[in-house]
Amino acid sequence: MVHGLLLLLLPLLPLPALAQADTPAPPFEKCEDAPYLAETPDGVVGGVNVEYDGSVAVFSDGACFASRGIQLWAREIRFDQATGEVRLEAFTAQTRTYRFRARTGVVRARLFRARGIGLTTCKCGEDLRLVAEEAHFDTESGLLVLADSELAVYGLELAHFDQLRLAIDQPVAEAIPGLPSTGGTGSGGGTVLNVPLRFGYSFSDGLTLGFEDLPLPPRAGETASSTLTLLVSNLSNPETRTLTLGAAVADAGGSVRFRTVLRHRWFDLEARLESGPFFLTGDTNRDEAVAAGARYSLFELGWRDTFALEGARLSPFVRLAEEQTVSDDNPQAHSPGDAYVGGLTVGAELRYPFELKEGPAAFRLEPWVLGAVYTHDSPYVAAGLRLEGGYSEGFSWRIAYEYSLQNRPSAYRYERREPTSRFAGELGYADLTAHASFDFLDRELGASLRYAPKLPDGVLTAEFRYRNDLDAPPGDAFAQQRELVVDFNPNPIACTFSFAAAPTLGFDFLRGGMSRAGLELRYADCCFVWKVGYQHVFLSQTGEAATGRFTFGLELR
Amino acid sequence: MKKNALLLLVASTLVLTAGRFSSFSVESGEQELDLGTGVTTMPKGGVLVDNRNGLRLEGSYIQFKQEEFIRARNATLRGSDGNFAAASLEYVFRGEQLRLSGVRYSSSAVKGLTSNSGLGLLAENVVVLKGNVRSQDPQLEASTLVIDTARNQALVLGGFSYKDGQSSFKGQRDDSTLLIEFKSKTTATTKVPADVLGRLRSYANKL
Repeated sequence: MVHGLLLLLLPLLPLPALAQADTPAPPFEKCEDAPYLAETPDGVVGGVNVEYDGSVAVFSDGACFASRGIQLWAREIRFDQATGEVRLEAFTAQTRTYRFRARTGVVRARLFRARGIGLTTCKCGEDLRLVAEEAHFDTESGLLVLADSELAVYGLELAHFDQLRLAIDQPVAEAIPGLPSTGGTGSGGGTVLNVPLRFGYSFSDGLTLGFEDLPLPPRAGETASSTLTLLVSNLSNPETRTLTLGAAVADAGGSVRFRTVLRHRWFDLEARLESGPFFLTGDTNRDEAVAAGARYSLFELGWRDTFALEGARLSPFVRLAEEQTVSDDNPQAHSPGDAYVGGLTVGAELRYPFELKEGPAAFRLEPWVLGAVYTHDSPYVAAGLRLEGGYSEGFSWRIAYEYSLQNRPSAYRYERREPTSRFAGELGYADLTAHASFDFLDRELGASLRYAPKLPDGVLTAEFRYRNDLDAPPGDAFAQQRELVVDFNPNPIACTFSFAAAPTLGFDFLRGGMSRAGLELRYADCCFVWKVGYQHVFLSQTGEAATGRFTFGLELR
Repeated sequence: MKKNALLLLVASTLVLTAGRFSSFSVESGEQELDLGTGVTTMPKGGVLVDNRNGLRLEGSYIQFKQEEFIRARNATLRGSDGNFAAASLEYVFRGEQLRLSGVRYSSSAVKGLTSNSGLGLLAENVVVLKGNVRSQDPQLEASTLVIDTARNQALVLGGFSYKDGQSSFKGQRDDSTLLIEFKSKTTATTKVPADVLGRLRSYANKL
């Protein structure tokens, strides 16, 4: 999002004074431990000093208020014994997830009203913050309701909410809908943010630079969110050089997305409109392939909805489509879906997940069936199941089996479910994890053994990866893998304005040489962990190119 | 909050500070006078009264010497505003000091006030209560209380707690200080001026 732009501009800008003077810490951590304490109907009020004028007690010098797991620190707190009202001036609060500040607050009869709110996830400063003029907090439910709030990053407004309800200890990504978060916890220990910045460098193709799905600041009163894409790739190679331009608008009801990729000799267009269950797509090259041989284009108009039926999920669909597949690279033309196909499809997919949990044991079975009929082709049927079982107490194990079959390759890619027969199992005890998998159709065996002890400064992982394609001709080194990868993931950075480094090294025993080497540098400022990494693959394992790759990541601290 | 009730507490100690035995007489009880020392002993107890100050002292054992001291065990001191009881009581005429141990006090306003020991410096209008200072109504607990009735001030030293209805107020540290002043309104502060703290604490140190 805006970070991307900022990162680009960062070298041009004089760094703002990031370190803000925080209020001095009071001489006690919990309000309940304050030297002087009053218990009120809505919580406790404490302070280092108290003055009582005959009707109101004024707590000062580290004044605090605690109620329902929330603890507030204020310049001054006034408790009116007659009315039971607690009034706070210039207060701050910190939960596991947030830091709050507010100009004033009043607690009375279980309800806490505050004015002039600022809320941030940052450890210091407020480069990422939610501001609201008014908020109320229910001391019974623990919900904070912000009225008319704005989400801003480095002073730029990203989103506006008429009403935002926050559970005070809810993870940030769930609580703040405007954050473009992946929802996961990153290697740096924080919530991972989708960074719209794209930066890459390849020795053969050159620089890739730009931003993808960069959120644009909303206008006042606007509920839709819009994004912009501008990306140049492989700048030094005229054959593979591309320029991507795109825009998207989305709101609760639907979305529109448009993208064009300008290439050496042609250009591609992709447009998609979604409105409730309806969708419309035009895509001249969905694979974004750079080689003409793998091109695939699509035009479709469709409807798909999902209904819950006593534990089952039924997804009927209707689709009018034209697909073009040029599979010159694949000598085995296996379906009429190759080359050119068009017409109407009516189909449905039914899934019936079944779960059982008993203490540390868990079992899950999900059978499914999909059928489709066409105007110009015979019907397509596919069915399958996924079976999972596991146990976790002291040691853990997990097995999964996935199976599916089809009567023939489907007319279109949309409904196609490729035949599968795959088994995977995992056994874990303490720092040791063993993993094995076998694909019965591809006859490929995979296994790994990982030892990941937790050291004082982080987690050291040594993983041996084994893979063998049983159908590959003998001596085909690319069908096999015997690689040991050692990496170190340092503990989440605890101190602001400090660095951590995460190195990776790999050794290929099959070919006898270093397979990969990489280093990720992490830097923590008040709000974010910035991650920049470079990894070079010397001996490629299947599915990766023997080249260097830059990575960039951003996490909330 | 709290402090209105503390005002009553102070009022109660007026009994003590008014308790100057300027002149008293024996109302009942056997007396044994030691002619050598001038000390009168009432081994089976008795009653002393000070009609001028409206005071009445009962004890299971009393010893006194006119213009010097009165000592009593299981003593009850009755005044117009309430009753003091003490396991032992000693009144020294010079300096007008009243020392008590095992103090209990009750009046219409204050119920069940107790402390391990008490000191009345009657010339200076100061009363000190020390050790497990408690009252049942209002619910108060403190370690030391110094009351200066002339200046309408009271100082709470050390940890204290006070409960009133739905709210309560506590000083949680051993070095807590709370100065209460009784003027047209009762006010209180934990920021005790150094001179006031020094003066009142010196009284507390005498007990």
